[in-house]
Formats: sequence, C-alpha cells, structure tokens
Amino acid sequence: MSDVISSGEDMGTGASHATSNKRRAGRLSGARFIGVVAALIVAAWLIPALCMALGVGWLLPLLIWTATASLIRCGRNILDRLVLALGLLVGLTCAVGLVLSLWPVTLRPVPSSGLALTGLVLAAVLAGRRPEFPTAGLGWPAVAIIGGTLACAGFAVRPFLGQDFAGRLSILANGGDLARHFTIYDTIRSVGGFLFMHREVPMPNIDAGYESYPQGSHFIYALLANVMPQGADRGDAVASFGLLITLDIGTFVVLCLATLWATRWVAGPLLGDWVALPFLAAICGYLCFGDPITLLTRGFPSEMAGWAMLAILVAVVVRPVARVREQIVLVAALVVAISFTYFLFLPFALTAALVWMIGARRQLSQRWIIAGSVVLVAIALAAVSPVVNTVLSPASVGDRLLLPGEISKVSRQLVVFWLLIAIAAPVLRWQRRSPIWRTVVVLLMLTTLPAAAMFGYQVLTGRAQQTYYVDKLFHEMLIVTVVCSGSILLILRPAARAFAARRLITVAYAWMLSIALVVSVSNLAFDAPAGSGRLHFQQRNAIWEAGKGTAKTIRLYPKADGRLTWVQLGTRADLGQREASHWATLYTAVLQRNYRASWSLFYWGYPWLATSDAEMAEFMLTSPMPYRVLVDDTMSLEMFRRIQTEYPALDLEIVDLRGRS
Amino acid sequence: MKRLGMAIGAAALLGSLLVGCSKPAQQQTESVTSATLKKSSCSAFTTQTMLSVLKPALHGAGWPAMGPVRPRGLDRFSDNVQRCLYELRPADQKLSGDQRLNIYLYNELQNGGRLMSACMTRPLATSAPVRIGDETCVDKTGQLRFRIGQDYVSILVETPPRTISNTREIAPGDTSTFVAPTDPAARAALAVVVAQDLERRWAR
Repeated sequence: MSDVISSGEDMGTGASHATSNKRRAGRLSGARFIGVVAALIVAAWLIPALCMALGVGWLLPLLIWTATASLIRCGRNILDRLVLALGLLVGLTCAVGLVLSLWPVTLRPVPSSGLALTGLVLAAVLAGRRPEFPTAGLGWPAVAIIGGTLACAGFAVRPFLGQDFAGRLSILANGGDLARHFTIYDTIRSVGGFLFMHREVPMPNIDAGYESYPQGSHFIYALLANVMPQGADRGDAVASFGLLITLDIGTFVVLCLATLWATRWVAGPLLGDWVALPFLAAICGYLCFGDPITLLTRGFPSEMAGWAMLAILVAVVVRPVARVREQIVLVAALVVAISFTYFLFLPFALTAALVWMIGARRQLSQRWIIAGSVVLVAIALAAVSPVVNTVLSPASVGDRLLLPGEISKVSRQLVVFWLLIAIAAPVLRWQRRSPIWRTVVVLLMLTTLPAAAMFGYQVLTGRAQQTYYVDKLFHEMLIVTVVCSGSILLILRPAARAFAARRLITVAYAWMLSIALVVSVSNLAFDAPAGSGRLHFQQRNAIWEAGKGTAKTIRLYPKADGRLTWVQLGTRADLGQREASHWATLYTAVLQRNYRASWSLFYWGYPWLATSDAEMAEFMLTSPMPYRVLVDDTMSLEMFRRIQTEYPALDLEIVDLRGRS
Repeated sequence: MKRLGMAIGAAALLGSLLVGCSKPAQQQTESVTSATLKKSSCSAFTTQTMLSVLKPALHGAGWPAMGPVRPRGLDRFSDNVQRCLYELRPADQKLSGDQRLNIYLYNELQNGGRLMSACMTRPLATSAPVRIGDETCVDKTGQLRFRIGQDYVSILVETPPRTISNTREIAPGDTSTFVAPTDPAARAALAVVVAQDLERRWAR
C-alpha cells in the first residue's frame, strides 16, 4: 500500500533518459551538431510546405503533437506523454497565439507549422534531448483508456455518420451556441488572430462584446481548420462550419481521453491492473450518458476544452510528474490553457496550482529562478482573458455570473454522488498522511465551496432554477470529483481482495459495480436533460428541419446582400414552437457572416413566442434594415402579405418556396 | 392612564390600517426613458402598477375588478423595438369565459417614424381627440402611437376572445360573463390612460 499513498509520479522514467541523451548529443562534433540543427530547421519549414502541397496538411498537427510528446520525459508510456504533450501544446499555442496574431501571415499553415516545428527543434537543442518514446508496454490501464476513448468517440460520431452538412448541423442545432462559437472561430480565421487584438478590423459576424470572449479553443480550431483540405478556401462558410462540427466532436473525444487518463493517473496503482477496465468503463458511461455529452449536443466547445485541460491539471497537481522542471512548465501551460479556453475554471486552476506549489515548496526553492520566471510569465498570460473580458466587455462579471440561460441542468444529486465517491476514502484514510489523498480532499473542498456558495445565494434570492454559471460551477465540481473518483478503490480494493481467491467472483463483483455506477451516474434509464446522450445516440435531439432550412437558404442566398434573411420554413410564423425556423434563421445569419446585423431577429424570434400581425409589423417597420422572408406554408405567406398590404412603406421581399424542394 | 394609553395606541393602529386600506392607488413616480425601457422593457410598470393606473378607467367602462395574471410583464427584445405585455384577468376568476385584457407597450426608440406615418394615413375616426407628447395618432385598430422628442412609443390594448377551457371561443352573444366592447375607440381610451401616465414620467 505504500506505493498507493506515496507522493509524486509513480510512473516516471527517471533522469537516465535525459542524461543519456545529453551524452549522445555531446558525441556530435560542434560543426556536425550545427549542421544537423540547421538541417532540422530547414526540414521544419519544408515539411509543412510539402504536406500542404500534397493535400495532407492534417498530418502537421499530428506531427507537432507527436514530436512534442517525444521530447518530454515524464510518464511511463507513450499514452502518458501524448496526453501531457496535449495539455502542454494547448497552453503554449494560446500563448504563442498572442504573437501569431500580430504576425501578418494570417495563420497560414506553412508559417504557423514551420514556427511550431522550429520551436520544437530549438527546445530539443536547449534541453539536449532527442525524440524518443518509452518502450514500456501499455498495460491494461492504457488499453482501458484507449478503448474507452474509442468507445466514446464511436458513441459521439455514430449519429453523424452518413449525414450531409444539413444533417450534421441539425444534430447540433439546438440551443444555437455553436452558431456564436462559429462566428468567433470563423472570424479568427479571416482576421488572422485573436479578435481582441484586431478590434480595428470590421467584424460583421461578431456580436458586440464577443470580441473579448475567451478564444483559446477557437484559435486552435482556426489553426487546425487552415491545414485541412476543406479549409483551404476561407471564404467558404459552409465548409468552415463543417470543419467546426468535426473539431467540436474531436474536442469531445479529447475531453473523454483527458478524463479517463486523469482518473487513471490520480488513482495510480489503485487502477494499475485489470480493475481499470470496469472502473474506466463506468467513467465512459458517465461521459457518454451524463453531463459531458451535453457539452457536445448543446454546442459548448470552449467548456469541453476547458474540461479536458482542467482534468489534466488536477491529475498532475494530485500526482506530480517526476521532474520538477517539467512539472512547473506543465502546470503553467495548463493554467494558461484554462484561462484562454474557459476562464470560469481559472480561479480553481490557480488555487490548485498554488496547492501544488505549497506542497513542492522545497523543490521549488532549489530552482527558484526557473520557478519564479515561469510563474510570472504564466500569471501574465493567464491574466489576458480575464482582463480582456472585464476591461473590454460591456457586461460586468457580476451580471454575467447571474446570467439566466439555457443549459442542461446538472442533477444536484449526481454532484453529491460523485463528491461522496471521491471524498469518502481520502477522508477515511486521512490519518495515513498521504500527500496525494490529502491533496484530493483539499481540491474537492476548493471546487465545492464556490459552487455551494453560489448555489446557496441563488436559493436565497429565489433564482436557483434560472442561472447558467452555477451549473457550470457544478461542471467544474464534476470534473474534479470524477478525476479523483479512483480514490474509492482505497476502500473497495481491500474488499475486492477478499474475493481474490475466487477470481470469477471478483470479476463479477467489479462488473456489477461498474454497471451500477453507469446506471447511477448517467440517467440512462430516462430522458432527463442530463442523460441526453441517449437522445444523441438515437438522433432524437436533432432538429432536421433546421438543418434543411439552413442548407436550402444558404444555397439561395449565400452571402449578406443588404437584406436580413428570415427563414420561415417548416413552421408557421404566427404560432409558437417555431424551433426549426428559428435555428435555421440563426445559422443562416452566421453562415452569411452577418450575425451582428441579424441578432435582433434571433432574440425577437424566440420560438416559443406567438406573433400577431401587429407585433410582426412593429418589428419589421422599426428595423433599420430591410428583410427577406422565406416561407413554405400558406398561413405564413398570407400573414406576411397582409402586413405588406397594410404597410406599403415596408421593404419586404417574400420568397415563396411552397412546393419547392 | 395605562388603559388610556393602550386605547390610544390601538386606535392609532386601527386608523393607520384603515388609511392604508383606503389609500388611493399610488401614482407611479419613477421616470422613464427609451434607454431604460431598452435595458429592461418591463421597467415602466409592474402588472400591479399598470392595474392601478387603469383601475378608474376600467371601472368607468364597466369592467369587473381585474387582477394581474403574473406580477411582471412578459418582455420581448430586439435592438430596434422592445415590448412588454401586461396581462390582466377578472379578480373573481372563473374556469371558463373570463374576459382578459392585454396591454402591449412597445418602445420603438427612434425607429417608429414609418409606423407613425402609416397611422396618420388611416387614423381611427371615432377616437376622441387626444394629444400626448409631440405627436399622437390612434390607428384604426385602436393602437395608440405617440412621439416625445425623438422617441416613439406605442400602446395596444387587446381584448382576447373569451374561451372555454382555454381553447373553444365563446360566442359574442353569450353574456354569462363580462363582454368587452368591440369598438377600437374603447380600447384606445384605455391606452390613452397608460400613455398619459408614461408621458408624465417621461424624462426628456
């Protein structure tokens, strides 16, 4: 049990690799060494150019990711390194993005990738490292993580298979958040950097205030989209949106990978053997049928990226990697990544980092120059998103924290359930003085207190049912509790060992436990919002008419032309329940890259509001811009014609699509 | 002496209660601008204060005592126009046949010029002459429009059809419950009362 409660990474490969690398690097003569480095730098620019010329630009991010993983030395197997490299890269890319945004190459693939690969060559030279991967086998836990990630990926992707653009859009249309994320990502692609650094450029697709929204994930999406063959024409909005959908699903897969890996990392030897299979299967059940899938179905890519980064951060704070310098850089990069992707999690991320620093104060004091420098840089970078949001945004932080809004409500019982799973064993084993499990208790308290305080405040003010960010704070709690949930095995494993003599019984017991966990945490049994994974898998949350209406309209009117487009297809204009036409109008506006002028249409046209002739006239005749309305039903057509007759001054183009496919 | 003190105290308490009960409806005093209405389109009235403003006019027109359907109005928002809908129903509510009364308040900001012009081409002939703000018009449907400075406001009073179980309409001839007058001028008269209150509080 001593390995279970010991501090520090239990899977480190030690310092021998770096020493041997330095030795090998040292063997090269000076001139030859310079020649090799120069050749590598040339290759760093030639490879991107070649990949783009051959139409395989998508290889570049994979190459950069793999190369980064090959240069770090923590973790026991290749999976550990890939996940840690992912966290490192997200943070670094956001930081470098501040420079790239000023570089007038507008995020073109060759310079961006060339810069990244050159940076890796220089990092290798400075660290005296050659690319290498550990040769240790993956083992059951890694197999469980990879298998679980693939299962989650299959689950997420399955509804999209065989669908055209309209179909894929329909599956994610509900809620409309993806439309606004598209405006940020797509505009980053066109202006060539973070939007808050290009305020002087006209941004017709960005609503006021959205220039300052945390843009880390959008920035990375823009870089990735630019290397894809479909992203070659930045003017093609439909292709750009298609890529966003792909990247959005990809982010969910990253979330699953990060959560499974982090859970295993925190649990350490507790999940070091076949027990990882049923336990991580239960976590997969939660990821696919619980709250995380709603982040995909409701269109929250930023939060998904923030979730993944926070999961990795919690993992390395609870069980730091063996090398202090790598740990410093990793924690810093992850804090920056969280700040740029979803800074609601930043206060917790900073306190978690502080918890680690306090625990590692002796090691840090021996390296105070590097530690101090990295901390200063990280704080400066992590401050960018909050400062931009508070100084440059029209809404106050307080107003936004109490924002009412649409989110799949988190089951309060579920939060308590996960909290009890994660905290029970560390509290019961407190007297063992394990730094790892004591850190878990501290982190759980740090994440629970703000959520509980805000929830309590809202209960007192009678707004417990309305607000948006309290549920987001519950998401933060869920990340930490799920990642730390392996601690329950501190209690369960001894119990399981009692069955060890009869292995079949042990296996059956573990599977029964995992099935019970899946059922408990996933709302699999019914269609509650938290269990929308089932709706997703069965395609029952798709709004097919919304996708069809958008695709039809954008074919007819692909660009903004001075008229605002009202898509009134598939529903009646005068009645409520106009979801299909409402979302089609929104997605058409963003695909026409005209959201700033069209946002009124979105808010006025809330689908549950019935609309009389008088109210329609009020809206259209007070609008500074003329409208075009596409209708495919007689009642709506007659309504608009009545208004047109009543108000000859109204500049309204009615497009009658009745009977046209 | 102690008893006298207690008696005076009790009388004072009773008196204050009676005064409180019989006090006329409080006048709205908060100033209103198009900007405040844009920020919060239902901030000019609560349903209760709207009811207080309309109470004498409703009483005079023979309406039964009315009460709010919900404490606050229902808003609808856009950049060019904002709406607040106040819904009233008979205080002595029945399951079916209640005559409801809806008051729509539109804040048209500086965008109401075309609607005002359209109104001017077809004013309600039977409407009593009324002057609110710098420009006023009652549409043939009974919708009241007025302009104060650059700001346009419109008030529409609507009497939705009476229904059975919220679905089937009751014939107009059925007088088992109160029947609202169908004349647009009667609805416009109620709109004028609301508009006068707004005009008084409008901060130019």
